[in-house]
Amino acid sequence: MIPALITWTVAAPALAFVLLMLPWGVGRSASEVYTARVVRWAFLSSFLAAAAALVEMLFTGVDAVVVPLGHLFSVHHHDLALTLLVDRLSLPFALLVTALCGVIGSFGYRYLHREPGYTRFFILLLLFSLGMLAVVLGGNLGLLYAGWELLGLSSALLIGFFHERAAPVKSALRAFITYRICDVALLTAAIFLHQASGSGAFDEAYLGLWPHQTSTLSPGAAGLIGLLLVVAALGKSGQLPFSGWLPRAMEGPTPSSAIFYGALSIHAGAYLLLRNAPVLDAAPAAQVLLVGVGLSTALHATLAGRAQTDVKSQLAYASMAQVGLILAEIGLGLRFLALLHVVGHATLRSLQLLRAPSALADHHQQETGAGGLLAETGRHYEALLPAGARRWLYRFAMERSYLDDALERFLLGPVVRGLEAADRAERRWISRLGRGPGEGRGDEAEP
Amino acid sequence: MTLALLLLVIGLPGLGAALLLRRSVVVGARRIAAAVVGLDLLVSIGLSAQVLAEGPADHGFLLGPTALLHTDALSAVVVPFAALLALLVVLAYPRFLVTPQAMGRMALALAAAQSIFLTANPLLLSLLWVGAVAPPYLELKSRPVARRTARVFALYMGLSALSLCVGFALLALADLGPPGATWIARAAVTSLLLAVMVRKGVAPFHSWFPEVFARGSLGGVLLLTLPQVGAYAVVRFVVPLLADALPIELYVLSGLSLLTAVYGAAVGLVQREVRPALGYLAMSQSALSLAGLTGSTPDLLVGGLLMWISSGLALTGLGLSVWMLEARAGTLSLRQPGGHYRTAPALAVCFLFFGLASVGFPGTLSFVADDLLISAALGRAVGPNLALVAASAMNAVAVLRAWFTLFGGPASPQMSPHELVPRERVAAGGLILLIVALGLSPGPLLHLLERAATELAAPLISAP
Repeated sequence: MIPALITWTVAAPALAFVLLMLPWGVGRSASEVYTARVVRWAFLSSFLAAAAALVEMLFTGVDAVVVPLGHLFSVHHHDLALTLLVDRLSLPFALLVTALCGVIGSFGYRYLHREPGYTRFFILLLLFSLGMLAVVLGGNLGLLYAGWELLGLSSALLIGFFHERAAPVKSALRAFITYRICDVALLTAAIFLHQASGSGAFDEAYLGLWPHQTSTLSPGAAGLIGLLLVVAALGKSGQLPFSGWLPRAMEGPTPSSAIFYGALSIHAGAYLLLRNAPVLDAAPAAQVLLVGVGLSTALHATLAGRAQTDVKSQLAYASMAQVGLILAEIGLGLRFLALLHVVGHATLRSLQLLRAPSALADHHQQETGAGGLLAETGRHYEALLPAGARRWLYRFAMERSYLDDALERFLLGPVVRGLEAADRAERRWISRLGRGPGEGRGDEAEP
Repeated sequence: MTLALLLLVIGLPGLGAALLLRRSVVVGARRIAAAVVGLDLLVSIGLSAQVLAEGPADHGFLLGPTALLHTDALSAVVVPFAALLALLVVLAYPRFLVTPQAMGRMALALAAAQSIFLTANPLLLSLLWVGAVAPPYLELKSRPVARRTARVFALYMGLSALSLCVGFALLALADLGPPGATWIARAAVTSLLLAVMVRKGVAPFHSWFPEVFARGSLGGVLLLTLPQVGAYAVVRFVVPLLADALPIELYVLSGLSLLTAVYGAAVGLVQREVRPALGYLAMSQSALSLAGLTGSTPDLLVGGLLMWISSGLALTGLGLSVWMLEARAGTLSLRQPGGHYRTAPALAVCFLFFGLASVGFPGTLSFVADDLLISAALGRAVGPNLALVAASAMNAVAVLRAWFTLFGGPASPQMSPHELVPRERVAAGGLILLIVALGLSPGPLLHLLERAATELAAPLISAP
């Protein structure tokens, strides 16, 4: 029964995605009622199937189930198996994904009422849930990578949801570029894992049951794969030095901010590392890096978050700080703690982000209840510092630790200038080569 | 029976071209072209079924040491593929650009591509190699803004044709010469590879590629570049020589292809117009396919063949989406947001889908091609893998940047809605369905390509 239930958990959002795309295919747009109905039933049935699978696993005492769904392709020695893996790690995550997507969907039906991109939002939400389920239930790194790409795309498109304004579009591109950098790291890790262990399937590459799995990788291979996995996770989870995209990602609609950067997408990196924990166990350098970066990010995000002037940015930095701590826990080998931390943080932060548009109303209500102005809180640590250091620190926090400037000045700027120089050289070469007898340099307009 | 089908596949577009080029009435030109190309597609499918049942075979009289025409599993794939691309271009051709001459050139381009795909004869290939570039050259020359481009195109294509002819001449000389004169064979292979590099826009012979995209008629450029006759020359004429010649030249070509893939993807990121950005994307994808085709294992060959087909289908869709939008909104710049989402939502979806389908997005055929190429390159050095992955990542960024810039931004109040007309909807919708169907169930196509790779690589496998 578990294989059928888990298959439906993934198939329901996929089917709903197709149902919402169908009207477009015949040149019509889906109505709000139709969209809401399809999405509601998809997430409800998906969640119920995952919950039923959990109940069955608890009652039958089964720890892990591999669900083979065939092969996407198989050529000579290479294939991509469509295999789902249900165990103590993936099933809680699958439940979290379906439950939170359902909640966000329910919130979105009313929140986005009469918004021009109503159906587009839900199509992207379904695409996201499909990607997230492929990440958490995928039985091999190939399938996980496919889901990882769906996450990146749906995230970028939702950040740029209000595409008529310049800022969301710029933020979406920034996020997508960061995602692609971490995609390269993940794909390279998948290649090396396949090469080193002879299989990309988790149940074959790692021995035993999660969280007590081990791997037979050599220290060198584990070190390299571990570092690549850490880079992939840092990018997806908005950690240093890739953190610049996360606060800007709040340009999207509030429900998508909640599901992506408060609840699920931001924890995809943590899931990746938990799933590949046996590699990290054999890669002390990766563990040290993870703990170091996680704690540094927590510090950076705490500082920068305290200088933010809008509630969504504050929450984005708060998420970044918590995920930094979660990654540090994973680096220290505290896997169950990290799993609990993920579930707790995802649910709390979703609630906070969904309430964010009503922050002022909530504040007034609290003041009315208290019978006057609320006392200011959160200034204890600043008070411990000398006044000069306070001003410097404030500036430092306002500038987001000068990280974005440094990346722009020392990495992105030179690369772009180099590419533009190459492009100019190409144009000059074509112009010179194609010049006819008696023609000057400007006789033909540049394209 | 097969010979009759072969003659029909080549003759139908040839006759159609002759009919259209002599016609002076514009009305009905597209219908005639669509009927001819559509019929050619059906006959191509019939020919493929026949060829697959019969196995590899020569047809026609001998011209030199080999027969005029040759068919095998590769022909069974690429011949219908070329006909499909031509049909899509004819259906999506902007109405105001349709003339009997333009439609005639499309039919002629198809006839040339089909003839190349159905021959294994060096002499005939040399003639067709030159003949196939004549219509796009004349078309470029006729455009006042593209005369410089026409000269550049002529220079590069002239170099390519010369190298091909010299290569085949040296090969004939090597067969006649004394045993042990391996330098002649090596020079022949090098010359043939040079011809392919120029024709496929491999660095450092790539500059013409984005330039013709920027200035040429997009339909003609798509039919010139995406069927990839250069790739055909590699697998039909160069891979079988591997058993005799040292493969160092192929390693060099493979390395340069990967370099081109990365370079094209990187420079594509900073383009200020859509058309050259599309050109760099096509150049990068074409180089990725060539890197697979010049790989030393059958798996890489299958990956390269699949990339050839998948990128061809997706880039045709992307190119046509650009063309359809351009026909409605004028020149498309990437300097500032165009705001076309509100007026052309269907084209926004098409552009995004085809763009993602060309860079290995899950659920599309190119995801399988990417995965296969990367998996097949596993046993080789780390460099090729990283180059494949990096090129793919940068291409995806270039696609999304172009999409956001074209379709994002405030819509101008003067803009009128840009709905797709039924023939465009059929072309775009049909291609989307085909790409998704092949992406979700690539088995039958892969089986065909495996068979093609096995037939092509037979000398390679039997080599000591």
